[in-house]
Amino acid sequence: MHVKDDKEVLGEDAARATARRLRNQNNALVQLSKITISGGADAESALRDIVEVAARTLQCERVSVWKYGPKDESLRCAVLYELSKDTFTQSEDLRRTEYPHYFEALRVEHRIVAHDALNDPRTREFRDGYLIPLGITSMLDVPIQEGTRVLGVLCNEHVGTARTWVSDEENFASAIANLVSIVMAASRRALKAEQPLQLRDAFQTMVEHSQDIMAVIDEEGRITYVTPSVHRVLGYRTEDLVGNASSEYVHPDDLPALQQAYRRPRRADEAAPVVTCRVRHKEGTWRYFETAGNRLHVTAGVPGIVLSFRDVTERKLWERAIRESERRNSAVIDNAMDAYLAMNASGMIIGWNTQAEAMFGWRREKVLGQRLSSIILPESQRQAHEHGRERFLETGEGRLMNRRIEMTALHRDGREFPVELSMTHVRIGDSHTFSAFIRDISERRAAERALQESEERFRILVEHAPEAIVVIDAESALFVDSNNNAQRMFGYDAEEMRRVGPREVTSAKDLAGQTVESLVQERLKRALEGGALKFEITCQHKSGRTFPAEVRLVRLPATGRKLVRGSVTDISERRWAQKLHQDYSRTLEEQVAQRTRELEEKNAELHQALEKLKDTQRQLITQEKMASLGVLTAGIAHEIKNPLNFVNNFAELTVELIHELRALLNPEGATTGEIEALLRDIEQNAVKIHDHGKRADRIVRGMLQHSRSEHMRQITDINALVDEYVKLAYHGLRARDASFNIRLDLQYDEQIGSIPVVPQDLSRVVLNIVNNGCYAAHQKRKALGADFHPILTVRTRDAGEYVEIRVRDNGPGIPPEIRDSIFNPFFTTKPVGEGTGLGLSICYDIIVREHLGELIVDTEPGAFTEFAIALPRKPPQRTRQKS
Amino acid sequence: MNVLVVDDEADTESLFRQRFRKELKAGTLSLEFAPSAESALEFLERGTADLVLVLSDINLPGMCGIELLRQIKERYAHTAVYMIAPFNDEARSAEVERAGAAALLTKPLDFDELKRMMSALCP
Repeated sequence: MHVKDDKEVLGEDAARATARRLRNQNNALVQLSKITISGGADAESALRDIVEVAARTLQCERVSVWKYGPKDESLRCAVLYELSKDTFTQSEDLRRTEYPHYFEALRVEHRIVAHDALNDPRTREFRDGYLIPLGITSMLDVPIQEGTRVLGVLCNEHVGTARTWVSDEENFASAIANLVSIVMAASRRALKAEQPLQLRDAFQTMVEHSQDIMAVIDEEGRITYVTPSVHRVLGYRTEDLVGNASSEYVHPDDLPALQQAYRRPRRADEAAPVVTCRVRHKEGTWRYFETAGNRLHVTAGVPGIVLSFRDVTERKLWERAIRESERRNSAVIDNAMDAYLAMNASGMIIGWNTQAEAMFGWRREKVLGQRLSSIILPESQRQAHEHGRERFLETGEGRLMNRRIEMTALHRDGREFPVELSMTHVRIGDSHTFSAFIRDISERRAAERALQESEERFRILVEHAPEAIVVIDAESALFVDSNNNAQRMFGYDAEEMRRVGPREVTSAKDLAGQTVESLVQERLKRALEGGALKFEITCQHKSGRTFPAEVRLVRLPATGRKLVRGSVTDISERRWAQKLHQDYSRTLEEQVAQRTRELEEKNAELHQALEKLKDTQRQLITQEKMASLGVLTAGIAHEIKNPLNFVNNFAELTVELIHELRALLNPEGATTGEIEALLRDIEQNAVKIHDHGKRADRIVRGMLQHSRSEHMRQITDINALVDEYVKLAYHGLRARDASFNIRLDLQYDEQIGSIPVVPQDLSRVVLNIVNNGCYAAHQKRKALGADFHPILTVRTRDAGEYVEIRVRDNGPGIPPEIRDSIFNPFFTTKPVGEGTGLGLSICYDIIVREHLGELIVDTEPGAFTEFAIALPRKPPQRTRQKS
Repeated sequence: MNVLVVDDEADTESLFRQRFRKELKAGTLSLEFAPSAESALEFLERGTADLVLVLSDINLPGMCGIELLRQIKERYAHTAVYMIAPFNDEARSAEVERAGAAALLTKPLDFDELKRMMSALCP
């Protein structure tokens, strides 16, 4: 057993309602077919009948007929019937000037179907003055036409809750309007020809051209009349059918129901049921029809039943197909992941799947038949929803139709949540079905929000990044995104940026041989391959101005599109700074090079000068050395020359003498005395040669001794040293000369201690000076005789930083004219052979140069001579010098 | 001819006497020797007859040779004076010449030349 589902149930209700209406309409038309018009008064009354029937059939409060005035500028009311009052009244003329929209609508559309007359733009003009006062909410205006000409309009005005005019009502109104037109025409003809006109005839004409098939069946079920439309619909010609049994054409399964409907005799006004039956097309296919019929009045002259057949094949097939498909889909729908809802034209829920139960918290049986907006929408949105539905039904326009929209839904427990829905609308005949698939997008919303926030943060970062950042679609080579800096850098606004790409902002300048195109492609390709590129390039502003930039490209993680992120830094300043730096460096380098050159020159000069100076110094030193040496050398030369002179001479002479001797030893004979003399001379000469040679030797040695390298200092006890060499000198002198005698007066300061001196050299000094003193005193004694007592006083003294040694003789003193010469090398007052004369000069060198001390002489001619030696206790360090 | 030789070197006498042995033997020359300028002047004051030439070393103890030269030239102008020096230079020869010396001889003496010069003095 087939249990009807909701749709079937509701669909059947709708079908039943439609059937009822059709029946009523047909009855009405049949009823009106009896009208006979024979005159003007008949016309008027015919019109009244027509509008009254129309009002009753349509259940419409006010039905009126209006005729156009001259030039269609106005409408005059011909008749007006009010249903509830059951009265005929009049209405005022309508002028185009007052109701321009209405007149225009009539002119253009002819028919005005205004479900909501108050708001419909075509009828709104009547709102305040007419509709509201009379309570009219819906209007159905159809034109009264004769041929193509519009004579006027049939107005059906509904009072009460606004109604939705359905198509059969429209058709019915049209039929009524046609009758009115016929009546009007007939009345004109009748007026002329005074020939009564059977409306029936007109009706017949009308009927013959109707879409539906009308047939008259006699008592035996034979077809006595059928409208020509049968040909179009079923393929038969009328003559094929007339006279045949109607049962031949009706489907055997449906025949019983049909016969049943019309078997029982009915009262004339009793409506027959609408039966759906299948009728065979001439070609053999079955077509579905809804039939409604009535028994004809016997007085009509046409016995039998008149039936109207409406072809509902298409609809039936559609319905079946839909039902099938819906049966197929219901399982799918029922188990779909999304919630599925369906609502009818009135906004009632007719579909509700399992998911909808879960999403909204309502069981199916609870919501079927309830108003959808009340169940799933928050209160604030219900009104808008209802309006939208009505508007759609009215205008066919729906904001929500056939697209995915987001809205807020309501759970049974009062909680609101975001959903996404897609709604479609299906109309089958008069039944509207709105279907919607709904998805709870709370989670998605949250994720979207999070993503949005993250994107926002990212965007802020990018926007405020100091660099210019762009995102390039590698395939289209366009910028799909760019931050403010990038836009500013290249001179395009956000919109323009999306229409350009790397090609447009790369300058062809400075590209050696490569095109911009190939360069861009190559770089993008490399970036996509996974490289992170960095390179410098000349970019181009929108204005054409070029500037150098550093570009970094990196591929963005795969998002389906091939995207490359680029950051661009204008390096004009850097370049300029680099150039400046280079220039500066170069200048600096040049300057430095120049400076270096100058310095080198200077250096060379200085070097030269230094060399010269050194040379000069060396020369000077040499000269000084030479000078002192010169003195020395002169002295030496002189000194050596003399003995050497003798050596030579005596050697020569010796040779000569030997010759002479030889001569003498000749046979001629020589005296012994002469030979003896010669031999004596030769002997002497040899001795002299020897002596002079030794003399020369001594001189040289003395000189060498003086110029030998320095001796080392040693801490020496001064008193001891002085004492030793004083005594040495004394004994030495006494040994040489027996007559030599002198008194020694020795006074040593015990505080002196030891100081660093060169002992060999200091001892030589002491020896020398003591010798001189002894010699001098001895000379004086030799001159003055025994009464003179030579005394030599030797004193040492501690003078703080210095140590003093004084040697004083009471000899003849030094005459003033030679006093300054005594320290000169080779200066001597002694006879030849006694001393070299180097003594005091060497003493001076030793004391002053070597020991950094002082050697001073004090003398009084005839009285004394005193030599004072001062030696520093701590001689300062000085570099050794070869003297 | 009488010649005075002034030189502080003792062996100068032995040298001269050997060099001039022939002349001395022949009696054409007589030599006197003084060891200093002072003793030379003393000799000259004693007025020994016919002193033709004085040969003096420049370097003498006490009064130097140049001074002796001047003194001789001042007092005994007819006596020629030859100066003997270890070496010669322009300044010395000029000075010596200015002071009136007839010649400046350098050591070692060229005795042959000296003999020639002396014979020129005394025709």
